Amino acid sequence: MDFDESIFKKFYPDKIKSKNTSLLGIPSEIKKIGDIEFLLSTTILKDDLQFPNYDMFKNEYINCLELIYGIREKKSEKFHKKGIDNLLKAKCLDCFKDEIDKLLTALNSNDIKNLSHIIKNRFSSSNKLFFLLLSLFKKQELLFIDIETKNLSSETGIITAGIGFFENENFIIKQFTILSDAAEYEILNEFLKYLENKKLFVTFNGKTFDIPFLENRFGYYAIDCNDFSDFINFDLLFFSRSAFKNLSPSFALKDVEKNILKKFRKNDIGSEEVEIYYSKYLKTGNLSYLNPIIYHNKEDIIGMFLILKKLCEIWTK
Amino acid sequence: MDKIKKLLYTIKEKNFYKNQMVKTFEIPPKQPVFGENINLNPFIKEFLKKKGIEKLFSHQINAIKKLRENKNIVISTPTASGKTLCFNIPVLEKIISDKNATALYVYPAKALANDQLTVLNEIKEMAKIDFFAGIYDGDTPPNTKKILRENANIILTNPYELHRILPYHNKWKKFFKNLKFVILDEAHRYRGVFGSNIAMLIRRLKRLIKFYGSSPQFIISTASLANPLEFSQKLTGENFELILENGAPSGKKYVIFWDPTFLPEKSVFTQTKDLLLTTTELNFQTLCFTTSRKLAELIRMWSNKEKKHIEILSYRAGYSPETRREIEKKLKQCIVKGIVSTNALELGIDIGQLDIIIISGYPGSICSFWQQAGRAGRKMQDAAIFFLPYEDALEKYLLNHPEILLDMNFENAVISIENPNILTGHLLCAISELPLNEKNKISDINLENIIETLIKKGLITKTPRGFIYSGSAMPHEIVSLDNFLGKNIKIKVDNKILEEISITRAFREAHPGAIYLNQGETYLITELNVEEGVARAKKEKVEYYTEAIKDENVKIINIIKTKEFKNYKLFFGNVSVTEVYKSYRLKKLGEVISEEILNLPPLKFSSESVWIELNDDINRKIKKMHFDFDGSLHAAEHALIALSPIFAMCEPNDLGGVSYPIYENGKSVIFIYDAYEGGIGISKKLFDIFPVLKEKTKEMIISCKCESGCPYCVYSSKCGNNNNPIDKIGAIEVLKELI
Repeated sequence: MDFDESIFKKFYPDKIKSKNTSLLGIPSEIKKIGDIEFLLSTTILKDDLQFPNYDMFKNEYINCLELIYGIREKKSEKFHKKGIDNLLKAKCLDCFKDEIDKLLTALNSNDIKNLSHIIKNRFSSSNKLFFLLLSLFKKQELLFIDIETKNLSSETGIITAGIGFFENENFIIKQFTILSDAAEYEILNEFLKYLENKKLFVTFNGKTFDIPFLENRFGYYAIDCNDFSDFINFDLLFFSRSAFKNLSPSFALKDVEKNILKKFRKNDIGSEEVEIYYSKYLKTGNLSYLNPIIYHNKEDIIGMFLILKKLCEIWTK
Repeated sequence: MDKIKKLLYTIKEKNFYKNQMVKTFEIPPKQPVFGENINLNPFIKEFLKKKGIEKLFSHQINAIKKLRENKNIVISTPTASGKTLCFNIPVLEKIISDKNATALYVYPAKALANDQLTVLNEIKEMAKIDFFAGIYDGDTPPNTKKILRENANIILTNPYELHRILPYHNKWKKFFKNLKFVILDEAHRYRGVFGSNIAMLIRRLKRLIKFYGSSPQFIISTASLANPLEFSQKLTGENFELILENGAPSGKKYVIFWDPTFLPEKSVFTQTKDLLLTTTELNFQTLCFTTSRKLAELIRMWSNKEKKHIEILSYRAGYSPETRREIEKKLKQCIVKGIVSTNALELGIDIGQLDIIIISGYPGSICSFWQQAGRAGRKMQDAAIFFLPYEDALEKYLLNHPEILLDMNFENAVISIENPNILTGHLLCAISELPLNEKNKISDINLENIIETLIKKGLITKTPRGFIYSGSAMPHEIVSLDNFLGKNIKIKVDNKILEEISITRAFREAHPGAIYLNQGETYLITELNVEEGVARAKKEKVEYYTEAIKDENVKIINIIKTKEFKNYKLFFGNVSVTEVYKSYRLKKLGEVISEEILNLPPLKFSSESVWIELNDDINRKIKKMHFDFDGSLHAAEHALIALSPIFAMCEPNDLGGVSYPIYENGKSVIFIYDAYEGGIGISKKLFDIFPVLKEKTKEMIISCKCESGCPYCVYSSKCGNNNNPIDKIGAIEVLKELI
C-alpha cells in the first residue's frame, strides 16, 4: 500500500529558522558501547560557592510561626505584636504545645526528609526556609541536572543529558550527547551512575520538565532506577521568582542571568533549535553541529551554579 | 382492555389518523428466568438483599460462573437487562478477596462513566464494601489523577483519555501490575473507523499490561448483534465466551409501524408531534427520538406551542449530570410527561423506563433502534413503540419488512484491523510507548511492511533494545481515534479548527459551496484547499442542504478472496478508486433547487471492495427480454448499496459503487467498495453475506409499488449519471439470475 508522503511530515520537527552560530568545539571524547557511540564532554570550574550555615536555617525555622497549622501571615503578625515571635515562646500556648514539640523534635533530628515534608506542607517550593535546608546537605550530595531534548512539549527523546556536581574543590560539569538515537539508552545508564550518593537535585524548571522527562525515558527503556521522588528537588526557577521578585521582567534562565547576574551568552542557541542541529549532524555526520547544543547545555548548568551562588549570598544576609 | 389497546383506539379516532398504523406486533410479556443458586460473597448478598433483589437472572449467574472459570465474556443481551451486575459482582468479589486488585472500566462517553460510578458508589454505601473507584478523564484534576493511579481499585475512563495516558504507563505501574479485569461497556459503539482505532488502542493497552506482568480478563458488554463473538475477538484479539440468553423479565410490548405517506398533507415531523401530544395528554410518559438536534427542538417547540399545559422537554448530548438528574426527577414525579431527544439518550444513560417510545426516523442501525425501543416498559407494565420511518429506500424497506427490525440480532458490527492507515499511526504510538521487540510486540497483526516503511522514513530505528521511536512529535498528538492517518482536511471557522475529516469525506461534504453540518449548526464551505489540508467555512443559517454528484472509476489491484456460484463469481480484494466530483445540488425538503459545477481534482485512493462478475449469458438473457442491460445493472447496484447498511452496520455514505456493463476484462461487473482509504471492513463483510444481501435486495425492488423506479428502490440521490440509465424491472431479472 502506498502512503501519501505528506502523512509522515507531521512526525518531523517544525521548520524553524535556526541561527548561524559558531560550531567551535568543546573538549569531548567519543565513548563506545558495542556499536553505539556517544560524546562525553567535561568542564571543570572552581567551586567558590558557600552554602548557608546550619544556624541560619535553625534560626529561620524557630522564628517561623507559620510552620504551625492555622497560622498565616496575619496571625503571625498578631502574635509578634504580643511578643510571641518564635516557636519556643509560642509553646506557652497550650493549643500549640504538641505541634510545636513535633516541629522542634524534627529540627533536632536533622532528618532532612521529614523537615522537607514539614516545610513543603506549609509553604511553596519558592520559600526561603525551604532553600535554607541546603545547609543540612553536604556539597557532594548535590546533583545539577539539565537536559536537551527532541521536543519541548512531549517526551520523545533526550539528545544531551548534562549534570553538575561538586568534587574536592571543583564544580564538575559532565555532558552526555547521543551520536545516534540508539545511544539514548546508553547515556541514561551513564547518568544513573552519577545518582549514587546524591540526595538533592538542582534544576531550573526541572520540576515540570527535566525530571518528569527523565522518568519517562527511564520508563520507556524499562531501566531500573531510583524513584526520583525520593530526591529533594531545588527548582531554581521557583526560588528565582521569589528571591528576585520585581528585579526581572521574565524568569527564563537566560533572562535571570542577564538581569540579575549580569551575565551574557555569546552565540547561544535556543532549546527549540536543539533538534535542528541534531538532525543536521545526523544528515551530514559532521560532529561540529552538536557543539552549539553542548555549549548551550553547559551554559545552562553554569547559569544554575551561579544562580544558586547568588541565592546563597542574598538569603544568608 | 389493556391501556395500550385503549390508546391505539384513541389514536385511530384522531383527525391525523388515516390508517398509518400499517402493522402492529405484540411482543408477549416475558417471565424472568433465574439462574441456579451459587455461592456469593456475603457483602454482595447483603447488597442484593438491600436492593430487593432476591435472585439473580440466568445470564447474570452465567456471566459470574464463566468469569470464575477465568474466561473472557461478551454479554450481548438487550438494554435494561441488568448487564452491569454481570461484571460489578465479579469485580467487587475479587477486590474483597484482594484489596490491591484493580479493574479498568472503559466507556465511550463521559455521561456513561458518571452513571456507572454512581452505581458503584451505591453498592459501596449499601454493602459497606471497602473499595475506591473514580473517574479518570480530561476533567480530573492532576492531584486526583495521581491519587487514583496509586490507590484506586476501579478506574473509569474513556478511549480518548486512555490513548493519552499510555505513553506515561510507568506512572500506572501499580495499577497495571494488579489489573484483573478490563471492562468495555457499550462496545457496539466501537465500529467503523472509530472502532478500528479502538481495536488498535486495546492492543497497545494489552501490550503494556503484559509488560507489567498481568493478564486481566476481558468483559465486553454490547447491544444485540449478529456477530458478537467475531466482533469481540476483532476488537481485542482475545477469545470470548458468549452470554446471550436474556433472563430478565419484560412486560408486553406493542411495536407499531407507522407509514406517514398515508397522510401526505402532514410531514412525518408533524405526525410525530401529533402522536407525542396524544400519548402525553393521556398521561403516558413518552420518549420521542429524532435524528437531529434541530428536529428535537422543533418538535418540542411545536408541542409546547400547541398544548402549553403538557410539559415536554428536549434532551441532547452535553447536559451536565445535575441537569440530567433534574430531568430524571421531573420524570419520576410525573411533572414531565414527554421528552424529545436525539440519539444521545440511547447511550445507556439512566433516565429510567417510559410507557411510550416514538422513534421518528430510523436511527441508522437495528442496534440503535432497539437501544431506543428498549426504553419502553416500566416495571412489567404494558408499553408501546411507534416507528415512523422517513422517506428513503432503506427506511421504506424496513417498513415493508418488519421481520428485519424485529430480529434484533441481525446486524454485523464491522471493524478493520487491516487498514494500513490505521495500523501505522497506532504502531508509531506503540513504539513510542515501549520499544518494539520480540517480547513486546503486537501479536495478532502483521506489521512487517509498515515497519519497513517507517524505517525508511527514519521514524523508527533499530537498536539492541528493539525498534525505538525516532520522530520528534509525539504520535499520540497526531493520531486521532476518530480518523486515520491519511490526507485529512481541517475544517476551519475563523481560523479555529471545527473538525478534522478524511479527504474522501471532505470532497463529498466539504467542497466549496457545500453546507456542512456540525453539532446541529450549519456552515457554508467557502474554500477547499487540498494542498494546505484546509477547508474554510463560516457559520450560516440556511434553509437548503447540498448533495454532491460524482463519477467513479474502479481498478482491481489484487484479489484476496473469491467464491464461485452457478451464474456469477464473487470477489473481494483491493482496488484503486478514482472519484470525480463534478457538481452539487442545492436541495430543500427533498426538492432540487439548483445545481452548481465543481472544479475539484480527481480523488484517488485505494480501498477494499466486493464485486461480482456476471456470466456472459446473463447479458444476453436480459437483452432478449428487451430490458436495458446497462440500466438493469446500474439499478441493481444502487439497490444493493441502499440495503447494505442493515447488514453491515454502516451508513450509506460509507460505501461507493460502480457498475460496468463491460469492464476492462470484458465481463459485466458491479463493484461495491468502502469509501475510505484502506477500507474499514464493510465490503469484507458484504462478501461473506452477499447471497442474503442479493435476495433481500431483489425482494425490496419487487415489493416497491412504483412503475419504473423511484428513490425508494433503485434511484440514488448521489448518482453521477443522474440515475440514467435505470431499468427497475431489468434489475429484478439480473438479481434473479444471480444464482
